[in-house]
Amino acid sequence: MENSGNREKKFIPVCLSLAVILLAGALLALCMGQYSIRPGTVFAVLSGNGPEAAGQNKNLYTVLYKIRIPRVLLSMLSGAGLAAAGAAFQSLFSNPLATPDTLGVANGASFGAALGILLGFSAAGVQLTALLCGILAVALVFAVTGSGRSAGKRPMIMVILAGMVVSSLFSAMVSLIKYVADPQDVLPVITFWLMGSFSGVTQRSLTMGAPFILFGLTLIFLLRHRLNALSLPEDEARSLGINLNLIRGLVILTSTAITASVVASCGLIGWVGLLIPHISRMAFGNNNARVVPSTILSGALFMLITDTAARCATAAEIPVSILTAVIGAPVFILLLRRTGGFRV
Amino acid sequence: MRFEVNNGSFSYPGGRKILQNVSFWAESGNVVSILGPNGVGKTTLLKCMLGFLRWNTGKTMIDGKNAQEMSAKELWQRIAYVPQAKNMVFPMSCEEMVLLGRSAWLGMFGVPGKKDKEAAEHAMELAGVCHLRKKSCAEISGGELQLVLIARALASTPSLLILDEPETGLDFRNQLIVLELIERLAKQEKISAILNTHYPEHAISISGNTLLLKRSGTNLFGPVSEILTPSNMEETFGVEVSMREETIRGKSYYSVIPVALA
Repeated sequence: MENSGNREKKFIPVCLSLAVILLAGALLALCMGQYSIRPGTVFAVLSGNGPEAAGQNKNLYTVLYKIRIPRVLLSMLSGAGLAAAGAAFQSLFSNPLATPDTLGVANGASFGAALGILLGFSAAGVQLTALLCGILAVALVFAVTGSGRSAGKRPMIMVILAGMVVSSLFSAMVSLIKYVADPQDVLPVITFWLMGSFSGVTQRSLTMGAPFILFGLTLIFLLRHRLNALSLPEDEARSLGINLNLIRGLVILTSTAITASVVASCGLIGWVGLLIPHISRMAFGNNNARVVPSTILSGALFMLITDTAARCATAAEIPVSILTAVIGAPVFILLLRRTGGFRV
Repeated sequence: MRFEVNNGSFSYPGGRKILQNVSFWAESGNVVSILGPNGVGKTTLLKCMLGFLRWNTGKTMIDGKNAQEMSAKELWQRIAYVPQAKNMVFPMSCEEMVLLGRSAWLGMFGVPGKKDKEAAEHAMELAGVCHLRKKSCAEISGGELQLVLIARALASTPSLLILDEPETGLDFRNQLIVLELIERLAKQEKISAILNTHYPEHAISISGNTLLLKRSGTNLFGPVSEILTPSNMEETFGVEVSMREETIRGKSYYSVIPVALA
């Protein structure tokens, strides 16, 4: 077992290497795909030489700008966002099993998306309904726990229970929509969409989703030192002089913004929010000052790799959430065995 | 600093009255212990004092100012709470745990700086836990963890420590270490302490004044020697006690012997 001093020392070098690998990986991912592009061409196009740099083939420029760059960017942002939201929720609920969808955001947003598809909305319309329903789910959790005898002071366990109830309610409504959807054309769209995939990402979905995710990531990063206090028992956290209700509210708001906009732009992607924060904890201990930055970087990298694999491994696109579990589970078990679990 | 509770009363919604007209105070460098049988409301009193629960009537005053009207920051830079040592879900290293005590000095998005690290370092020295700095809070003993929690409280440079049964569950040696630390902080650093305890001997050995919460709902506050008498103890705990004084190397010690159920 390494002592915590080593972990502090290796934190900065590891994070720097992660950042370099992430950048290199992103450039490599831009080259890869059904339509492979030479790195030199990618550089030329990225450095602002415009369509001319792509040479005789105008399609290269379109592929890169309209499809690959938005997709690579959104996959990295989603991975980083879900992982950071997971880390924040684990601290907020003092529970290692908490994930970004603990409060029902993911199922709420899924319901919104399924409803949007059923009603034949445009892609942007589906994204918007998903976002709104995700927020509605969390609002519902607060409405349920906010009233009654314990008004003003919500025990966290009640919030978790309400989240589970709201979550299963929306999950049932998703099933209802699937049941009534036309099995010939609408149902497959809903099913594939719910599996989670970045295949439908466009410049427009990037511009709609990215601001929420970036806002959430920034806030969680800024609150990283407060998250440590948040993970203590309620009275202890309060006695450290932090504004507990405000910080709890902010963490829930940011995680909701991130998760709802990820689900809204690319469907349900499981595992990242649970897996990545724990990998960071095993590597750097439980101090969120180290967990949050490393979680953001490794979440982005993990999602970049799985999504690139999802679109390049076979001729047909594999839903990325299948890959996150297939790659994630063994990696997680391997790490658990090698580090003996997570402690300082 | 003068910390004062004036005529505090509290009852849980729908429940019976737990605390009635509690009044006591602590001046700079005082150690005040709170005694009473299980279920009489010692922990509730602590929560009311700290503002986790609101007094139904009465108030907590700090230097003549109502504590309820103070901002969280203002309050928690002056008083610090030492909870009972418990297992943590996400254990950090002891050093990181102590540094958390600086939270009251940091803004919402603040990052602990040099000054905060120095204060944490000084707190660890005072509590004698510097050698534990890199160890995980999950890997140290209960006694060590209690000292780390005291160090965390000291990191905020408070004038008053409020401790919830700081020596409960510790062995003889660790009890003595914790009690001597509380006494030393009061005498040398002028950091006063208010603590809950189940041990009358401990109250006698370190505190000047004591608050005795009786099962009848009334309470007594005053110098230990006047309050912790055999007849008061019998009335409060329902136990017949005998008290002995012994002088060892020039210092007097009291032992409280529970003789029989009264």
